[in-house]
Amino acid sequence: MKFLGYFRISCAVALILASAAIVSWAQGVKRVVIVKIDGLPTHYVDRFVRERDPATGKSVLPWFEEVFYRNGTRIPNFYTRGMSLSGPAWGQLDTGQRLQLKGNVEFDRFTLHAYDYLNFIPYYIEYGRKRKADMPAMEVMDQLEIPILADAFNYEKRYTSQQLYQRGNNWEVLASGFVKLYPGNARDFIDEWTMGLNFRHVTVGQAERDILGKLQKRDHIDYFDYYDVAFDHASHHNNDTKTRLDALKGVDKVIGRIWVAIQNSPRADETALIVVSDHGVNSEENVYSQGFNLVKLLASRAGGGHHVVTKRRLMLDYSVKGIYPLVPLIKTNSEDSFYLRGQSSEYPTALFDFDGNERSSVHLRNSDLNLIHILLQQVRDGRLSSEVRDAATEALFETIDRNRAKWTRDLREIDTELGALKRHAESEKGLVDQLPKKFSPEELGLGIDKAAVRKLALNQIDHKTVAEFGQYAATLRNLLDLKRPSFDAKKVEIKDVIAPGAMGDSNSLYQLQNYIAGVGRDGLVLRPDKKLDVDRSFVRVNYFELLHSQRVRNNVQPDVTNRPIDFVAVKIPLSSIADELRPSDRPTEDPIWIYGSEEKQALILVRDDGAGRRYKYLPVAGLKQDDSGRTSFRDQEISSGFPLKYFEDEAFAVPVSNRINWLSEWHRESEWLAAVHKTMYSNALIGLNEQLTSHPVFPDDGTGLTEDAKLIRAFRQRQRHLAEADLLILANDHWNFDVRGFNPGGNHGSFFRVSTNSTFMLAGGRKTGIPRGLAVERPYDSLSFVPTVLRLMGKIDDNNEPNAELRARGFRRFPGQVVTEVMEAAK
Amino acid sequence: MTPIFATKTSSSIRSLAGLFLVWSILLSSLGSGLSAQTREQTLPEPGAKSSESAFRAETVKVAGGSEIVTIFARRTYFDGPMQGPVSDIPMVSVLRDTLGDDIPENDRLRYVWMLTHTRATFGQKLSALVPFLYTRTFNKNEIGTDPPPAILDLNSSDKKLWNGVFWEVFKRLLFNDVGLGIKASALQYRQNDADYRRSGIAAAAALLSLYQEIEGEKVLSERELKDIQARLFLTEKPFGMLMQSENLGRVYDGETSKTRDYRGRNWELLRQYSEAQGLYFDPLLMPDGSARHAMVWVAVSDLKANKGRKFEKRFLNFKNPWTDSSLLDWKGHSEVRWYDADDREVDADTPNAHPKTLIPLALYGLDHPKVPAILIDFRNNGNPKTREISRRILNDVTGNVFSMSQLSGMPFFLGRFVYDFVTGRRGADLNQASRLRSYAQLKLLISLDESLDPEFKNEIADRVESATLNPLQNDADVELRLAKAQYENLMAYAADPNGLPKKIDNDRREEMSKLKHSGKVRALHALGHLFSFGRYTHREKATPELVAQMDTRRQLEFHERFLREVAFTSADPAIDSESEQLKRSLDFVSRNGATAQEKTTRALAKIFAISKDEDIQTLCVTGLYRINNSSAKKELLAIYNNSVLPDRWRSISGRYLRRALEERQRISVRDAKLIANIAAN
Repeated sequence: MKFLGYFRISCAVALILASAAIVSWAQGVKRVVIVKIDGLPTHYVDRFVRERDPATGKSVLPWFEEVFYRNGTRIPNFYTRGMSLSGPAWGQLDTGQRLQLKGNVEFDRFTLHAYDYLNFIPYYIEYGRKRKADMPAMEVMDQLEIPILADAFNYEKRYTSQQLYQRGNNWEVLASGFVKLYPGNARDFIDEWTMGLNFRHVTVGQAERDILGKLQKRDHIDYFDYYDVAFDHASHHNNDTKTRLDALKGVDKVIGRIWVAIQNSPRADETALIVVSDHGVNSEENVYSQGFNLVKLLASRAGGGHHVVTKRRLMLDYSVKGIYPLVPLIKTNSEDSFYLRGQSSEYPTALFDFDGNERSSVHLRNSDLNLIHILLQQVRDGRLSSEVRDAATEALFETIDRNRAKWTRDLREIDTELGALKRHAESEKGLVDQLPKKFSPEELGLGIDKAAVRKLALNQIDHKTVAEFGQYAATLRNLLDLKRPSFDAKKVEIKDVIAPGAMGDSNSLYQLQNYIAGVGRDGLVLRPDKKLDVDRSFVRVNYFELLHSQRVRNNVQPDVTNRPIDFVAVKIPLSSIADELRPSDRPTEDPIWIYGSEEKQALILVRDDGAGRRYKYLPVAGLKQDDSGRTSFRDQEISSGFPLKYFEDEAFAVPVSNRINWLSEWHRESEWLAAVHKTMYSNALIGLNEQLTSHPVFPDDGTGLTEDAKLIRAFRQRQRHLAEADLLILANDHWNFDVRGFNPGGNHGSFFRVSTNSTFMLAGGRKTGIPRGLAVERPYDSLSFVPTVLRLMGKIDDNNEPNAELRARGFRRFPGQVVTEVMEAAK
Repeated sequence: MTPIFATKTSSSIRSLAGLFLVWSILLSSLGSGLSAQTREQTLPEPGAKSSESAFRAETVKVAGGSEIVTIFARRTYFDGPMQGPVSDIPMVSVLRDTLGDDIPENDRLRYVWMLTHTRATFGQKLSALVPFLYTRTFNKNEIGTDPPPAILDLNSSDKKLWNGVFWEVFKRLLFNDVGLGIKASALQYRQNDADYRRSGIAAAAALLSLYQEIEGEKVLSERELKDIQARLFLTEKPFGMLMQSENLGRVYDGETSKTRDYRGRNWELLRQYSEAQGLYFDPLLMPDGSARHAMVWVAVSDLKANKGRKFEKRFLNFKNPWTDSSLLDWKGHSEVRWYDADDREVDADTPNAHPKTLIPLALYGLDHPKVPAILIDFRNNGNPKTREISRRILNDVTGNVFSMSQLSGMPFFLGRFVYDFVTGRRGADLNQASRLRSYAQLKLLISLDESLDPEFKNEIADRVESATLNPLQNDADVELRLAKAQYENLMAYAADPNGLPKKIDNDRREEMSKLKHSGKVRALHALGHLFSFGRYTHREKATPELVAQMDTRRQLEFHERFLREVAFTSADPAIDSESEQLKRSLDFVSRNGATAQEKTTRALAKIFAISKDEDIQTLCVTGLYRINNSSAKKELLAIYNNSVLPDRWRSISGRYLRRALEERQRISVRDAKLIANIAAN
């Protein structure tokens, strides 16, 4: 016992010393104010900071110039790592961890559960009913045990505004914001009313007022954030420079007011003001961004006749139903469906997320599920001859048997994991039920009420998940229970063996290249050996060729091509391609295949052997997978026209004479970033890997955890995997896939530099050590943001390991590179 | 001459391009700028100006210290590919009252004349009285010698509001007792008159926005142009005339941004729906890439290939071309265009180019809210007119015949609400005001064009005219001729000592009454004006003292506006504002600001709080002392009581407060007691 006591004391001393050591590395930033601006590209800010207002002789963005150009540090080559889309991008910026949320909307392939990370209204309603504490993105992060930057500060020491990764809500912001719509006197109110009351600004404006007030009157608050989407909205709607500049001037004024408030506050010396954005925007004056309707394509016969699910209402602004704020799953019925006509409610076959609009993630129902569904329909139909029916029944069981081993394994694992989740949910429910319903003012001040609701909300999600997955597992079990000898098609209800709404397993590359969409024109056809001729019996779609072949006839803008789709990217399981790769090309992660055309394709290969990540770009052609899962391709000599177009890009920072050599070799991530970041596709090579690769959710193997906890972790990893789409479709320059309405002003979501280049600027008081007038030329990406802020605050060490306090709050090592220039300059 | 549409070369495009000559001339000469001149009551000399300018502006002095600024559209005559002579067409005139000096701060913009907008003839007025007569009837042939009617009085006044209120009262009190015929006629006339004025305002706004696009020196400053346009926009709003001057910039920014939103969205909507239906979308591109109108065409070769194809009519708003046999035997305008393998339009001699014969189906206005407004249906003239009439007839029947309004009862209110909501939400192009604007723009363009393929031009012009609902409207050619005549009359009116100079003098004397009388007395004057049906307007006798006061008052208003704008937008004037102008404005208020408004006192207090410049702060404090109202003293007292501020501000504000008390300035009783205590200590 005595030894244990000494040990504890020693540990405590060591922790204190370690914390002290970390603090000593800090640069004296004790308070941060983070201005989060959605969709603000640095290059755009830079252009206008340099432009002079003829009336004042000053910059048209005087506060950006004053605060960050004169008195701070900016990182002009700062990029989104992954898609240039708010949900994923803020996820990285807020957590500092590898990408887990892959879109603004995600779907679970098994349960059709939709994660809608952008819709505030259901959250407000549930928050009002005390059934939710946090926005959906935050709930997923909690399930994944990934804290956000604000979590590094005690509840009472932080002020956060309305945003995607939002913890808790403050009704006072909404209420005060509404009250402040009245400017104080009737005449001004009439003017404001005549101009149109700015309801969109209600919460944003109040958040600003709160921050300005609290900066001076609430000394104890160490963390503020302010979130504004006005610039992003203006850019989507309008390509006119003046409109966007007006929005940007609005941001500039906010920065001015916050900066002045900081300077007038008692903690000015130790406060840092930081501006950060999640992505850029592809918007160009005199070029309208053109929309291409992928929903219509997928619903067409050529596209497979899919009933398509979206989480955004099509033509929202033109629909009376569009006023309904809770936005259920929108199922677009295909009149060209080959075998599911009129069944869009029960059996949608494509899930479609297009947010950002320069990209689209598509889940297609597993092609084998389609085959089983079609064959079941056929054998239940009395019109087939017995010969054909027998062949179809054989084919049905062959298909089931082909998947039997995997489905049986999946079922076993899901059952085990769900069992653990169910036990956890039930045990938590007991605790949740015991939580107090009323709280004292002190408890409210510490956010204890919100913590209780959070627990309740997560518990309810767990219960719902258990039920939804249980339903899927039951139908899969029914399917596996079908036995050839006792099979009677008439007794089988399709919905009992194929879960309505479920997409099943992800499609393999072979399936995407040979997707079964329906029965062929001639119906089921037999081979000479009386077996079903699967090749001739079904309509098949090669989605890569289909998407590549899309053209429009109205080609009216000189800078816009008539091909809406740039390329399609998918992840290929390493095991299916490893043997085809030369040993020197073998990666350690699943390769990413980019399909530009049949002859212009590329593989992105990544090795992470403990000594840092290395990437290789491999030009290939004719890549295909056969039905046994073997992938083949032809090696190609690099030349112009391959996806991402690095080779021919003038901004590729490798001498022309050396490009063939350079591109045939492995390079470290930092070398790639330095070489390509100014090209048209910038860091797309890294971004595509980040976007499509499954990153381990948990940092360790769970040593020390209970068996149930380990199983729940495995289940969380499974859920993330099930949210991964089959296809990532990228739009060509100035094209978009918005079907909710029209975004002629501009869009983002792609890997174009114009869309990924975002903003990261810092300035601070005397003690913060943040350099003045520094422009860091070295490129960085969004993984660098959190570790840089925390390093400035002395909360992580040189190896990006969090201090004891942060570790206790669930923080883990940050994989991103700190912007060392900010630290070095101070030293 | 620069080709009108840089990206299009076929003859058909040239002919269409001619339709939009003004725009193209204007925009193709970006950089070549404007020609501006100042003269003393001489008329412009058509044909004598540089052909490269899109507009010519002219300033004509008016006796008594005013000037008329006129914008002429420069019109080039084409003779095939050769450029011909140039003539100038007077379009918009604006009166600027300068008080006869060079001080811009005391200038007042007053009247706006859209010179194509005339007073109606007796015949036109009679036609306008006929209920449900939705067509143009007569043209005005002779303009006479009368000056043109001003389309807008820029003087921010509440007359229009009171006139509106008075009209509503009048309508309700009297119209229920007169016969249905009289009532319907009177209301019909009033609506036609309002719509006609609205068309003129839309045309003026369109023209000024084009003039503003041109680079180079202008006779109207950027701020003046924005103010005029903002006031034009605000004519559509119930309380628009009450808008405070410091907000005009925001109004202008908001409205232009909204219009560009509409334009972009409609451009894309029309492209996507044309594409989806197998048609050809043809934005009428300007060299700067913008388009306010677009055509939709069908290819003759597609008519056979797509025969009987299903057609989604929504948003395109014309009948199915694939089942229309008349297109297979089309006798109207058609043209051949050449395309490359990527379906991009190219010159006919481009290798591998293939031709397509296109038939025009419709022409749309893109500035309409939510959806493009179909302005011409080349197969059915009645289609746009029916759309044009539909909402108007609903309004006329319910309002003019049945005297129903939104306040008439719950069933009507709900029915109307649902109808408006559904049509608005789904995007029906029935917004009367916006359609009027689109037609006015299109008509303006047609009027000014001389180069268009005569046949196609006539066809478009005829179709536009046939869609016109308003008997007060003249046709495009006539308007052009009348504009020149009206300009001559305006110049004559300006030269006549009993004409415009006298009117300006009356306006100034009316303005002086604000300097001499309290608000209560002025309210009585306003009532007198109201109940005399505008016959009585109170005016002061102009004395040198009152003229000087008016000069000071105008300058003060200019500086107050600037200070309020700074207070609204600035976080620290030293960083983000025009410091020198700020000091000038503060200095003026600190010397002449006794009558400054309460809002200005708040502006001064805010500027004092956010500024670190001692000169600026000192001027703010002095200004608060100078402004003779209780609010200013309250703000000064707050500075005195602010313990965070350095002592010198306490000392200065204390001194000023004592002096204000001694001078018996307006101070609240409570504040006066506090100040007295300061004085005692």
